Amino acid sequence: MTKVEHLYVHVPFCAAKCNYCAFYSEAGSAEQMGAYVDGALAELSRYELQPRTIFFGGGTPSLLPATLMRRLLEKIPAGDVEEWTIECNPATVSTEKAKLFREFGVNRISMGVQALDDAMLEVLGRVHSEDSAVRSYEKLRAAGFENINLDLMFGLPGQTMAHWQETLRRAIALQPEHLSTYCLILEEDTEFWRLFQSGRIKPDAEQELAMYEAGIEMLSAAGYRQYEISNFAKPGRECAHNIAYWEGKDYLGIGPSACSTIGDRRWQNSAELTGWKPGRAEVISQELRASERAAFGMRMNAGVPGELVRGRWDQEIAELLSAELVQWRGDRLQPTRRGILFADEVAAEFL
Amino acid sequence: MDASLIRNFCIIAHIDHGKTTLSDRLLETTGALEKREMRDQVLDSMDLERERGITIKAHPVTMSYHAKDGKTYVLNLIDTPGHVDFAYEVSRSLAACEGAVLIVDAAQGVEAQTVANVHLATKQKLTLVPVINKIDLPNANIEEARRQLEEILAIPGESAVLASAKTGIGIVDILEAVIAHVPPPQATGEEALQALVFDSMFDTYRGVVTYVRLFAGAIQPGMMIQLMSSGAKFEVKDVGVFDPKPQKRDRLEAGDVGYVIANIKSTADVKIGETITDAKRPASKMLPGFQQVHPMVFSGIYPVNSADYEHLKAALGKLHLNDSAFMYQAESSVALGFGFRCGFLGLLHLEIVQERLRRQFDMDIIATYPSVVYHVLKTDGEILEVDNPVHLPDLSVVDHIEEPYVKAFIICPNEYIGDMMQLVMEKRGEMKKTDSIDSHRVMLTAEMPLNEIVVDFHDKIKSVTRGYGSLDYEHAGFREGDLIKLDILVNGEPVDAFSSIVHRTKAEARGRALALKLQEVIPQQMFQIAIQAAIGGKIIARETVKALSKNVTAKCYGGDISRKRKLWEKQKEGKKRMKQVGKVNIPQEAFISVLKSG
Ligand SMILES: Nc1nc2c(ncn2[C@@H]2O[C@H](COP(=O)(O)OP(=O)(O)O)[C@@H](O)[C@H]2O)c(=O)[nH]1
Ligand SMILES: C[S@@+](CC[C@H](N)C(=O)[O-])C[C@H]1O[C@@H](n2cnc3c(N)ncnc32)[C@H](O)[C@@H]1O
Ligand code: SF4
Ligand SMILES: [Mg+2]
Repeated sequence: MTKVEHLYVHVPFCAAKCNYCAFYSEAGSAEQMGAYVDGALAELSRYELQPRTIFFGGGTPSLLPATLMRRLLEKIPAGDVEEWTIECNPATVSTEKAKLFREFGVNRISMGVQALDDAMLEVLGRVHSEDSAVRSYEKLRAAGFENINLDLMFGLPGQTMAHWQETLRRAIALQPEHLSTYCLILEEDTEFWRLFQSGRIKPDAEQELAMYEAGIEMLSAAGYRQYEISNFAKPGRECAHNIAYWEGKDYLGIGPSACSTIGDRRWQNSAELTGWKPGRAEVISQELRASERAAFGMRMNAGVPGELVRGRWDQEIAELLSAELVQWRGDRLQPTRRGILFADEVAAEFL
Repeated sequence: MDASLIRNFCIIAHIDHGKTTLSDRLLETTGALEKREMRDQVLDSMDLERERGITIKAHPVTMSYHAKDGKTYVLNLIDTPGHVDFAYEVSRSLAACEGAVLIVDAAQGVEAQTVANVHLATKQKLTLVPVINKIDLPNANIEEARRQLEEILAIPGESAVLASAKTGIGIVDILEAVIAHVPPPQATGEEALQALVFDSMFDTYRGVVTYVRLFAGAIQPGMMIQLMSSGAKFEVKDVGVFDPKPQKRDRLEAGDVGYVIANIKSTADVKIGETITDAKRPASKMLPGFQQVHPMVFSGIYPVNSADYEHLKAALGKLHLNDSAFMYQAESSVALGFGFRCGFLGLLHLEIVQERLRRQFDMDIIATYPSVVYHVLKTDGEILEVDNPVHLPDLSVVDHIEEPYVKAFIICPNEYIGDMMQLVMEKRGEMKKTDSIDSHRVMLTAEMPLNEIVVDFHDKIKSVTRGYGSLDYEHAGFREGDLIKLDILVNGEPVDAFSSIVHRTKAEARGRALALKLQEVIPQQMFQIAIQAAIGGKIIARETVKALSKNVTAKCYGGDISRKRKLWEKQKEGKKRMKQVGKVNIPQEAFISVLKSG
């Protein structure tokens, strides 16, 4: 079997749960964090890996104390790694940790900034301020990180267009290499969901659209190329790890709630702090994998190669073409601007 | 068998007054069966019937009873369907009897169905044996029940047997009263076989089992019989009675009630009310009262997935085999594709058939707005029967349209009279009279268009009266009405499945309500959708479903590919379950909401 080239490590701890977030994470005591690292190391030792991309996500990987983080980083087979990202919450970035990451070869940071004004950060239940986000960013730069992503969110309760544009302006001013803009999704089992159920949050599709488009415009004017629904990068700074997911590559996920896809198997680990186990594997046929590749591929501006979709989806493609949702560019089928706005509609056609 | 020792009777009652429980008791007391065994044997066997508290079909039961006079009698208990939709079937069951036990709940008193049933029984000249049931209840009011029997139904209250089907009080008295008051079968003067078909059922192993009451002659296996109305001839395979299990007999004779099995393929071949006679020596005349039953309410039934058409056809065929009153015929709709036009005796019948398709046959169906049958009198003198709005000719060639009416009996507590009358008026009804039933209830008699009560009248009565009102009705012929066709257009295309025939005074309000409702249930799509209500080309209401501005989830999924894929799959599945009209996807709820907006 060829060695898996893409490794994800889920670190399931957060200092506090944000009001919108449904990713698996818990507060975690020092003891639990220790036990988690032991478990992750044990899990890692079961696989032979030679990753080209590594992504530490969460949760908040940067919350792990330095000693524990070191134990984990030491065991990551990073000899051939080209891109190694660690997700950070601004509140948990320190110069010491930044240096530690650098020492082991981490070369990309993804920081959840979400918003750049304190009132909104409070609404979101974030544990940091605008100021600390900026300072954390600077610490990362000072430690030598040359590839930084910032996550931003729009469609937030009480957020106006002017607010959002200001957030974008401030983020652009920091000149990160990469920006992700996510539209708020109301997830069950979150504080926002409860507010939504009781009618205190009302999503406004028109406004979301306007904000999304404003984001595309401002970011492209600032030299960021949109390469996926939510992702913008300076040329050459696209996230290789995420692209691997979307291109249907095999990947291994370590840690609670992490997903893996290898060959025709896909499984998800159980969401528990200690003793997490792989769930029952779903069999992903060649056919289904091709469907997923096409569906996720069409969320990228580069689209998919014609050979992937021709023959099997000719009728669907003809309909999408006539609805002006997709277009041929050379031998690649790509979403149009309108196709980006109706990406779920487009994706469903390939399933 | 000496006919003077036979009693043929049925039990009539308003729903829940204790018909099923009393039947149980009678069987138990005469030793027909043990209680537990009976549950499965004789009672309302289908879940649906249990839930709705109605019996559509139960076979007749023959009991043997040692009376106080020392003689042993044969008592044939014939079941009657408990709902007006089946009024004709009820009348044939009654015609097979000489008497009826009339149950009145001591706590509830006389109700709408009691009145309607007594009307039917009196028309058949049956001897009534009144029973006041549930006297064990703490709130039983025997004197009041007696008074209502007398005042509303003109039945001597003093003669009523007091009983509790629950505790067993009065059961023997009821049996004795049946023997004493119900006349034994009388000779008709015919020598040749005359047997009334009052019901039939389809049995996978035995074919059609016909339930009969013999009025003259005898019937036995091997004999050639003839149906006097259709002329069809069959050879008798078996005859017998239910005690309550089927028991073969050598022959059935005048006065007997039992079953006949002949080589009959479908219940539709042996209509209820038919007279069976001896093919070699036919009777001189048929038993009275045979009618072709005509469906009164129609609805289109379509598979949600057009691939299920053949399944649906097979399922309808099976239902028809056992329910000859239910008719179906292939039709197609622009909006819904291929399906069937189905005819029912009434709304309950329609609901039962639809429920059975869903539950028993696991069919995913869409049913169109129910329509009654209209008589369309054209200017050229032609008369059309129209049961589907799509077939209504252009009004320029129509002289006038007649619609079916019913005489409705509504019983409700006094305090709701005002609301009830208003409801009747809203439904274009005409109040005929109000009779007070007791100190707190009245009976309203009204003439109403069937088309107004078909959809939600019963529900409305229940809601206006907080569940205390009851309704029953009988058909009352056709009358001219100012009727028009209301169309619904989606992006300019009329959707035939949404059309309905309505009274002119109702058209605008209904059109507006429908357009609004559709606007709510049709999901936003990638383009704007116009929903219009129109009468003969004139738009009377318009609503717009705004175009969806985006359909994209800008979210961080990481490796959780399956979750996202499943969302897309669900989205696609949802789309598949919708019907496409032009480019617009219309969900099932839209069709259902049209049904609900009476
Ligand atoms: N207390 C009491 N309840 C009864 C009596 N007879 C029937 N019931 C109850 O009344 C309800 C309706 O009875 P059922 O025989 O199904 O009525 P049907 O709808 O006329 O067949 C059931 O809950 C019975 O248990 C009776 O004599 N006394
Ligand atoms: C896996 S999360 C972890 C990021 C990191 N823990 C932090 O918050 O700083 C990655 C990103 O997903 C986005 N996100 C999380 N929940 C979301 C939601 N309900 N709707 C939209 N975006 C969400 C946030 O922008 C978040 O930064
Ligand atoms: S957004 Fe990030 S910090 Fe907030 S709860 Fe989710 S994973 Fe934790
Ligand atoms: Mg019953």
